[in-house]
Amino acid sequence: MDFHDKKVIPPKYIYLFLVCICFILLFFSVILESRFSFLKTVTSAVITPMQSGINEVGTTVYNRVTNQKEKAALLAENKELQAKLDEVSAQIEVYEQESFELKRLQNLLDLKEQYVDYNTIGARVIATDSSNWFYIFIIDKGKNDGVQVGCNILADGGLAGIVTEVGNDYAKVRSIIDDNSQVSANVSGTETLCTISGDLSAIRDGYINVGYIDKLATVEEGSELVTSHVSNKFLPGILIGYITEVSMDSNNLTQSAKCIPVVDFHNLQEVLVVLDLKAHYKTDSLNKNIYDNITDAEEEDSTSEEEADSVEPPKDELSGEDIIDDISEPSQDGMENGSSHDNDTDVGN
Amino acid sequence: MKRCITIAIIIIICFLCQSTVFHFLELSGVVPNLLLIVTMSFGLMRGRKEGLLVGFFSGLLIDIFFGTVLGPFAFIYMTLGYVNGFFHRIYYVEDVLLPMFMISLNDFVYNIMVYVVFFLLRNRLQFKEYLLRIILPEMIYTILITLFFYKILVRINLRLKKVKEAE
Repeated sequence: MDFHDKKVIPPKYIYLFLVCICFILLFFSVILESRFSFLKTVTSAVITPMQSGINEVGTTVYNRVTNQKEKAALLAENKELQAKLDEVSAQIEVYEQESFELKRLQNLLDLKEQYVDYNTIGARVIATDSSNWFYIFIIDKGKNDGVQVGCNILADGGLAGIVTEVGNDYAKVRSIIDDNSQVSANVSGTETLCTISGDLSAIRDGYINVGYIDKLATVEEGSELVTSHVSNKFLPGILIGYITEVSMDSNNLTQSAKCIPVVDFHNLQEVLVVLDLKAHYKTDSLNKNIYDNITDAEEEDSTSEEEADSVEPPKDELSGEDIIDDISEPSQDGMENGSSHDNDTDVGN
Repeated sequence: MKRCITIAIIIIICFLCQSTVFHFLELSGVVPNLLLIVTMSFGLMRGRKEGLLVGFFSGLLIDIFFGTVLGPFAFIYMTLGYVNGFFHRIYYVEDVLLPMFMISLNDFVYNIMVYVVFFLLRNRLQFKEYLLRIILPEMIYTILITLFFYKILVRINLRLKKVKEAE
């Protein structure tokens, strides 16, 4: 029966040899992480285009099947929405006027807009983790499109995850519901900080765990959770989800809660990659956004030269350089952090 | 040579399907483990050596794509392939019960190993939760898929054998 085994090396030696290889790989991939990137580059160059293609076909078929099912329901809904649209467009008119007024008043008070416009690009999810234990997915944008390790991923208007690895045309994203993920957050509108940690058994019920809320803080159910300013990986102010079921921990020092994420992780097809890193993001005491100023500074320089007379050019240049110095240092730190602690995102485990 | 190429293609196709389109076919949140079926089948049909090689490369592919380090999945799949090879002695082509039994055992052991390595060591102690929500559903779904998929693999194997004999 086993004659095809006999003339060559006995399988148990091959097994032992490969076990050794496994452990050597394990050892070296922990120690010399960067050296093994060529292996990933080579394989992904072959596999990623295929994944991309198959996924495209699969998505189209899937969408077509579900579309057929939902068609009737959608037609009914469409009628309803059409009626609503008329109503709402009238409202928008009013809001537009109000926002115009707001802008005027803000200019008057010299306030900067609270939300920053981040540089983003869209990306398609081309593969998801093949086992049932992790929530990792791969998107079709990589180094060539300016994606870096630590870029935040948004979907459905909320935080979806963070890039943990980039290749030339792909990036690996760990979503916030993954068991290894920790995100520092605060309750919108308050100073209450907390930590959101993904939990495999919790996400099956549709929520993620929120922990380490101060025991004195009163947190209302239904309030928004957004990424906090103290995080060194996640940009502040991104919506994560809504709080339910707040309860006191058994240690009587902290509270914990559940958070229903806004992102539908079940049907993630397109995501938005924020190209700006948190390490580059800074606000000064006036709550002005310095990150904005890097690009603005150059523009301002050019415009100021045109305007010439009123502005003092040397002062402008100085402040511009200062800003760039400020930013370059933390960015390097951030990069190192990102590569060495691949697993803990944010707050220590 | 022809065998190597065929098996490589099978592994890649399974990996691609599992990471892309099978996501749409998930039942109660789990997807079947195709690569494990391939590893088990070749271990059973061809013996220890081929089982462990198929397992090693399947695992390595998963490590490269979805692991943070290289090695753990390669090790798990390879060991399973190797152990399956021992049952090559009692394997015959028409038998359906043995592969069914083997795949359920394999999937169970595989998931337990993943749980211990990636979850238990990080102090996630609710084993019952994981057992009921992931391990058992995946096992049942994988067994169902094996019913069809194993037959295809057996046919491919027979075809390869014929080609070899003809040469």
